[in-house]
Amino acid sequence: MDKLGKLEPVGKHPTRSLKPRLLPLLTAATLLAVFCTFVLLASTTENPGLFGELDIPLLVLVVFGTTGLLSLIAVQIIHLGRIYPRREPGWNLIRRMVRTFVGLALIPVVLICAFAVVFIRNSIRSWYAPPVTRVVHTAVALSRGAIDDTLKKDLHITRRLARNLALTAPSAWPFLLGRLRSQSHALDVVLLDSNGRIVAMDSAFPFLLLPPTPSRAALEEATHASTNVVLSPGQGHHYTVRAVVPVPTSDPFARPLVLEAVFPVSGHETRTARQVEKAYARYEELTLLRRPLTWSLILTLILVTLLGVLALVTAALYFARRIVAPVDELVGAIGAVAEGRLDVRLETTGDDFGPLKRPFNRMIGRLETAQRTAEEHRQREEHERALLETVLAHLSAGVLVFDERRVLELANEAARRLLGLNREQDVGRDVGALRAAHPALEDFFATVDELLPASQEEIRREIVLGGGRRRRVVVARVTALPELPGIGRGGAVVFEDLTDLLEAQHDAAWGEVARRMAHEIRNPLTPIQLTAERIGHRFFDRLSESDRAWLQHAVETIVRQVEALQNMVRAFGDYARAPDLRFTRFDLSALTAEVADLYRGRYPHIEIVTDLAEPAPLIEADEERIRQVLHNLLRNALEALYGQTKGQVLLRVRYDLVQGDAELLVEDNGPGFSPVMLEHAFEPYTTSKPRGTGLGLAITKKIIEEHGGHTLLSNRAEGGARIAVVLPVNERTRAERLRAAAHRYHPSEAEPL
Amino acid sequence: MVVRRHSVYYLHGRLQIAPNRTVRHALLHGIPITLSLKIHIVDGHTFLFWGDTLARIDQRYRIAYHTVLGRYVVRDLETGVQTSYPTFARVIMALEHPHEIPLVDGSLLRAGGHYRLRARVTLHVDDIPHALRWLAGLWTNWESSSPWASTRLVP
Repeated sequence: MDKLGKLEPVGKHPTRSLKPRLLPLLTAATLLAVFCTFVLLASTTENPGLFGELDIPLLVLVVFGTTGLLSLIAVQIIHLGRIYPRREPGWNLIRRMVRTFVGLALIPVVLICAFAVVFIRNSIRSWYAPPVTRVVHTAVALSRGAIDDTLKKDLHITRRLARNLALTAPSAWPFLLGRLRSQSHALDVVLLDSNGRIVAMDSAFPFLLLPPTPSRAALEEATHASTNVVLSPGQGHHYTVRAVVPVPTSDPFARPLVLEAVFPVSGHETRTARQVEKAYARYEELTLLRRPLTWSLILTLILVTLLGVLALVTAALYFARRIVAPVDELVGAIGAVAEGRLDVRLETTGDDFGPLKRPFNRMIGRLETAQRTAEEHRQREEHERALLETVLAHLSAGVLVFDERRVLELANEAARRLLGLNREQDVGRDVGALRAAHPALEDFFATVDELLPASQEEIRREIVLGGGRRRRVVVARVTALPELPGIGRGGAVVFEDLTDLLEAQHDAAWGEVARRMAHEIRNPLTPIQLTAERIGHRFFDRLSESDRAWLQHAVETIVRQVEALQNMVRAFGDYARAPDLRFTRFDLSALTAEVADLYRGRYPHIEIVTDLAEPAPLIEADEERIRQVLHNLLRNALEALYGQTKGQVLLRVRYDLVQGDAELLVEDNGPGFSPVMLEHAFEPYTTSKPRGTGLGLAITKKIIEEHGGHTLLSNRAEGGARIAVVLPVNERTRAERLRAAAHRYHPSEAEPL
Repeated sequence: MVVRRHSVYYLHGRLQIAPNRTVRHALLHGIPITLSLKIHIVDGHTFLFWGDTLARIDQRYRIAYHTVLGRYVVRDLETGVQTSYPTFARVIMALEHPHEIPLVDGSLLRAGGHYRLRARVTLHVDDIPHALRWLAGLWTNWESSSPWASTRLVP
């Protein structure tokens, strides 16, 4: 299973597009933010005062939670947007489930939200109901009353202190102030003039250099025979009562003095006063902020509701996808199988669709095995086909395969080369089309057409093809093929080019004939000639004049014919023997010019033209044998022009150093070769001239082939004959040509028919 | 009025403080307000108000009404000294006469230089919970500021 491909359901595309761990992380963070939001809101419900302290964290959490939920929904919507256009299976189910989930939950949530809004408004309104307000104000009044009592008490004490001071001489004031402060439990007692300058003082804090003096307003108040007593927030959390009273005096010219006494307020009274103060301030603040507070709570509630709805949509989408996922996975697997992927398997653990997935996996497994087997068969067939093609490509014999409709299905390289077929154009044609496309191969394909409905037994047929530069002889074997897929009961044609082999056999036979003729005829010729001459000598004097003339004529005829026979035997000897070649380096163009000069002018009505390539490279060959070839060819051309009033012979020499060949071309404007001559010109004793031996071209061909070259005959389009001789220019090329000739079926030597 | 004593310039000012209704209402309902007196000493040679500011003084007082005491308590947020007043008018009266506010050291001013003293007073309610502040701002103006007042300061 590990080696098999895992299925990628269509429903998991959006997840795959995100980082693998990003989505779970985002989900967890979002849920945590929403949870914390609810916890904080719950705590602020119990203690509204916390709302002001937790506002920033709440805001951050709400923003984060909302963003996270919107992101999750966006992921789900992106997924839905991807599968919606394709109407993939599961889409309708997801849509219905989400609609049901949201529909079922949204109505109650909205109703609860509306109810909560009304409840909040009423609750806040109840905070400011008249009874509550009255209670708050009553508490403040009570606290003020208690404070007023304290103020009055301390003011009374201060006045009494002032009166005591008025009855005492100024010199005793410092001492008296200390005693009076101690008796009255005051913190500080300060006697000041109307400008605020300290006249005398005493403090419960001996290290206090100067006590806090009353304000200018308090001093003015007290100086003008009034009193000033205030409860002030002192140091720390304690209140102090500061009372400022004028010191009575009976002297109208005395400077006015005021006494300031600072009394501590008990801790209980301070705490009570502060609590009432704080509660009142809080209440008034709420009163003042009633409208924003109400809207703040309502907005918070709406925001929380929105969070809930978003969470609900997210959960609906998530669970709908979870429910649809197995179907989605199954559909994805089927799609993958349809595309040819048989390595997919479905997870079957912990899934309600397991009973469906297991047979599916087994089915795909069997399909995969079958496909693998088919693939192995296909590869084996391809291998065998490649092997067959390789073998066929390296066969020297041509192979053609036709199907039962006689359409060419296969032609190996040798067949294409020998017949000049084109793989792209000719393969796929039937025999009739091939005959029409290749008129030169008419005989070949006609024979094939005749033999193709062959029986299982092989049929051999020799076919002569003459459409190319050379006449070719092939032996074709036609065999019926067993019925093959795609071909039916077709047939195979295997053919071999026997031209070179037959020519070699032919040449060998003629060589043997020539050798025997030379041997058998030469021996009696000399005795015949001698005997004829001796007869002439013996009977010359005994005969009459007329008989003597006849005898002389007869003897001369015998001698002349014997000499002719000896020349013929010598020529046959030259053809039959295979003398050792003596290779030298010489200039073929110079040799051609030299031979041409020998004949030039000998026949006034014939013009000998030379076209010799310059500069001429030296070639390696037997110069004397090549000279003989030149003589033979030139003489052959001149004899062909016998009786012609204006003849012309062209000798042309060209070099192809890339191929390593020298080409000698001899052309005349005579009657040209007859078709029979074209076919048999190189055979010994074949001539169109009454006095020829018929060995000139045969010897020429033999010499050229001994040099590794070849000779070609043809007729010029404008009339006349053309003989082309191709000679290797050096030893390396010559060795290659000879080696190729030895392997007569070697592809590099063969040429199209 | 700016006086120089011991090479330090002090301000003896006269302000006109006119809190709006919202601020007064908030104060009476127990919500403290802050009075901020901002003073800038600016080099007069520079262009308009974007010149070099040699000194920035922000004198801030917190004014709270203590219901039980029935008095307004003013606390200097710089020094921590607090004073109580029986009425808001007295508070305003006291704060309208800033006394001996140190402005700038004389060594920082060039003789014959052109300097300007700019000041503005702001009263604002800053004790509202953050969550309610933006909502509360929809209905009322919780801040009252004077325009910048400017006068020449001659060293």
